[in-house]
Amino acid sequence: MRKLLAHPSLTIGLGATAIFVALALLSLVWTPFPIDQIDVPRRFLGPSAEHWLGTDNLGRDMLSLVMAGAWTSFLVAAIAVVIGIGVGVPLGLAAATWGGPVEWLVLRLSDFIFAFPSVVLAILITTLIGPGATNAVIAIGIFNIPVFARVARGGAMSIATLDYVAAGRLAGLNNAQIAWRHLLPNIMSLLIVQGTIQMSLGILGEAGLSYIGLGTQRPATSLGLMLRDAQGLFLLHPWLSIVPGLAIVLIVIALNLAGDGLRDAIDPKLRQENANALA
Amino acid sequence: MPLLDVSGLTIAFGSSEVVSDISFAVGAGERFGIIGESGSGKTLTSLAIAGLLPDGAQVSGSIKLDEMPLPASEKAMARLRGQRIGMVFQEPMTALNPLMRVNAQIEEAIELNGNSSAKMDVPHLLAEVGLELRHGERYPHQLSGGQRQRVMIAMALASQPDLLIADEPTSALDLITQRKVLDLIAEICSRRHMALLFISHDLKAVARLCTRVAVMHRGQLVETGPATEVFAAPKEAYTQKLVAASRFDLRAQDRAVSDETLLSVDGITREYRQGGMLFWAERPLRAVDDARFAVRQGECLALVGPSGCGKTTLAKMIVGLDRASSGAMQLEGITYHGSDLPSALRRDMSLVFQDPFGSFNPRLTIGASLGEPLRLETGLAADQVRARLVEAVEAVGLHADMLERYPHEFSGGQRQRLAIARALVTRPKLLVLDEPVSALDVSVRGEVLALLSRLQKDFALTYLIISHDLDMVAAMADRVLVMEAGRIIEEGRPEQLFAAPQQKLTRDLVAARLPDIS
Amino acid sequence: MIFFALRRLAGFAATLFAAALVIFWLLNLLPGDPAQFILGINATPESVARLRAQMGLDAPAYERFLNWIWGMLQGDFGMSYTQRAPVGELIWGRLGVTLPLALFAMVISVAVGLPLGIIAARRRGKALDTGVMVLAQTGIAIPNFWFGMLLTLVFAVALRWLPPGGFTPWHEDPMAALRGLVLPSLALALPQASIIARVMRTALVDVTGQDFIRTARAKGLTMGEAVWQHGLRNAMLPVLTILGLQFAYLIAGTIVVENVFYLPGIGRLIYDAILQRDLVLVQGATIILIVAVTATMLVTDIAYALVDPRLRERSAP
Repeated sequence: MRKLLAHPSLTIGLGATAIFVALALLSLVWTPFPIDQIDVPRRFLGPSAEHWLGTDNLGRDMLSLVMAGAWTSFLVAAIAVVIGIGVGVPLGLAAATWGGPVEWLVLRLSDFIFAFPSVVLAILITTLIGPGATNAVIAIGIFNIPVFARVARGGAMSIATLDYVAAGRLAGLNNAQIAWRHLLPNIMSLLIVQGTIQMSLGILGEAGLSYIGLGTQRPATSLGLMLRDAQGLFLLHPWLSIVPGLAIVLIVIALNLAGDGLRDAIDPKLRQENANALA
Repeated sequence: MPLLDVSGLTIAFGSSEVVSDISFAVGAGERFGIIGESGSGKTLTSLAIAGLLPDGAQVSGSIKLDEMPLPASEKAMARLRGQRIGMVFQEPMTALNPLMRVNAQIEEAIELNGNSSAKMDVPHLLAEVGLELRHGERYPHQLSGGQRQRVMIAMALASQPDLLIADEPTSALDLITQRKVLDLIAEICSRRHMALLFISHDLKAVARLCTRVAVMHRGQLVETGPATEVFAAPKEAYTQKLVAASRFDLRAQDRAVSDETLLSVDGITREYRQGGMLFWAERPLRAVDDARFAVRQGECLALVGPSGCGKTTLAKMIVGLDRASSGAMQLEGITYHGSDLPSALRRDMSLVFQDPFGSFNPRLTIGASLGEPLRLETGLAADQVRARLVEAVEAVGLHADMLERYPHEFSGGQRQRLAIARALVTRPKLLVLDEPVSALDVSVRGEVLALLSRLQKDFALTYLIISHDLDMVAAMADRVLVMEAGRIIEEGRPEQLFAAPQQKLTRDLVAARLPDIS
Repeated sequence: MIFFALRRLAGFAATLFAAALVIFWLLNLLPGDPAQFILGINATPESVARLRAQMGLDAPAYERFLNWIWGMLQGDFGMSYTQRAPVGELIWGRLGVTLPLALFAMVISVAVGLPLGIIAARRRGKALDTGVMVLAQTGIAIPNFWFGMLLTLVFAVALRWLPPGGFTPWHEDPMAALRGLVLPSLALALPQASIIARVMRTALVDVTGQDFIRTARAKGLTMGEAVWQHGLRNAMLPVLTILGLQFAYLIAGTIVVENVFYLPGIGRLIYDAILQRDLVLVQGATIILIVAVTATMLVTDIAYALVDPRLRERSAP
């Protein structure tokens, strides 16, 4: 643990992320102003002592909106990561352990899903069930599955040839036990690093989908949705787009720093060519 | 005037010194060997001479080539290195640019040093190292390890250097190729009157090639002198230890070998399908082809052969990690085909792996790893499990408190002992050992082999040892089987096999053995 | 090599077929009755029946599917219900915006990202390296559409050098069309360039530690020369993979940026189609996007094999 804290990017990244998550969580119980409190006479205000980040086109407090919006973004990204890990890791481990037709199937499935960028998936889902944050979750989540499957499989394959796995087989462990006892603990670090990457990608992805109208809808709020609201007005009132955009940038940088720092702390030789930023 | 004069060389990284105050000299055309185990600093010394030390290395002392100190500028050093020093490294698999054809790479070495009057050309160089023109057309991944090493030598010779530095050039090659490459280096050096700085942990190789040697241990020069003197009558304790270890003196043959068969292998075959689809499918590859032999209770049977002969595949089937395509085996009278080995029998057989660093899950304690095979014995209470673990650990000469520690806290030699302990924990009858000491330092090998010998006597074990190291086999085995391309081609007691080999491969293997050093 | 290309081509066709199946299933079979779905709950039974006949919905599912595939192979993507025009034509018109946009963005990001990554690797550990990496770290965190907004504020509003949005068709005024694409391309290029810079740097640094670089130096090259002459080509391999993937997703990503600049690209088309439940249009547009993505990946795979001789002989995993 001490070794982990010795890396500056890790401390800054984790610290900043923790702060952002805390603020976002806080929005569930308290925000400076209720997020649906409209105050039209006081709209388009810049930052002031009362409204730290100003107000939007309907007089709503921007800081409160950002806090609540960040929560939605985190939630969507987090659930999408859980989907990716929950489905992708077992698939990847299965492919590495059983090999043969199982591996072939998992690889083909991965290639297939990779052919559908999140945007396209979101389009399809929206056509069917209408827009909403759930669409973003499903679209990004499905795309996370092959990412984690590939990482799990890659990590497991480099371990599976090591002798202690063979020793486990000799001791009578079956494939599932091998995966659980020997493979999974040793790919944990890979998964954690990839998890932070996918979180940051998920936040960017949710923002994009909400921005074009396929994601979060009112009355909920998200950072992407705030940008959508700003779309028609930002030429005259740039502040409306700068605030949520900056929030996204800071959160994503924090997550990426944490991810990079984790990767360096855990194993400096861990350089994988991730399919970066593919949402 | 010596060609190379190293004086007071010290290399440090940060606060730790890895090479301390080394001094030696190599004359023109002389063959000088540096012997050392891992961590001795021998590789760093050779890199310092060539100016290839990694960033962050602090060097002090002097290195002179023909009385001139090495240039300080990187470019001048690089050119000097290219023209006067040729280098051959250890890992042929990764030492060549995978995207360039061999011809182009050798050509580049020639171009870089085009100042000399008699310019070499690629076909000439290829012939000199024993390769054909068609090898030059290929990419590195299409050549074998031995061929790649020859390419490295060709590139090193392109500039007609005065000094050839060879750092463990043959350790990654198989036995027969090793001998050929060593002989090639010797022949080239004498023909071109080139000085040789030969670095290795293999005493016999150094003894064969070099006239003068230096022994390094933990960054210090322990002993220097003419090869014959140093090996015949080593003065320092460490040198004596190394020399003794390379002799494998252990003939404790007071074991009882019964006539009963413990394991019988009856015509086992293992086929692999090759690539291609439908009509383009290639013939299946027979890794093991109708292997037949019997292992007697209490004996120590060795299985030798060049890499790729199928001995590891055979071992995997015997212990139940793989399934035979045809044929069967019998252990204690019960027939099986490999992975269908019943659990009840699994505990009577154990496997010790080659690489001590991959044998243990880094996240589990030693106790957890050692206890894993005990899952095969149902009905053991927790304290009985503990008792077995302690018994096993103490049998290999280690302490019970090591059970709570993690693998990374132990050295290679200790880990191999722990691997043996893990193999003993189910009180097996048959122990299969896959290259049990090849990955260990020379000085440690002797101890582990002595341990194995003692254990076999104390616990009435039967050993099946797989190895390419004929010297180790000669010291340990009662009987030897020689394997080639999946078939068992010859069998016999080590003395008679090595004295009068019948088959060609056996003759080649025996001929590839380096003579004893004394 | 031929076998490799053929195998990849077969995989490509299989993926497309599977994708078409999924899209067809999602948009034709899942919503129950597509005609009903399009017209909504309040539609009269007669209008529904009429639309059904028009769309040929009375044929069995597999027949409709095969007709659709066969039609697409001939360039017929069906008739848009809402726009009363062949889907193919509609999409083709929009591609004139989307494709150049994606291409420009790719070119800019490579032209900026690659050299930056190489410079950062050569000056590893020094100020320039840290500076470039910090920039890159920021660049990948910036949503491309938000960057587009910022660019508009600076270049269109404050400086008035470029238009804030809209698009003049190519045949009317090519120069104006180009000017309309500058800001969107830059917006898209920023995160891409950052990724490319990072990947290039990492790949180059990794390659520097490889044994064959040491061999090259042993031959008489300096470190810099060895990395440049031997390392760069090897480092390009992972970069190539990333480039291919990036371009594939860039095509889909233009959908978002178009919104910022009110460009009449595919994104607009699809969005309106979704709102109006024009299943045929959504279907056609989606399959074309998938084709573009998969085709790019196919080309990348083959290019990779052309550069790396090790891949050409091995059988597929």
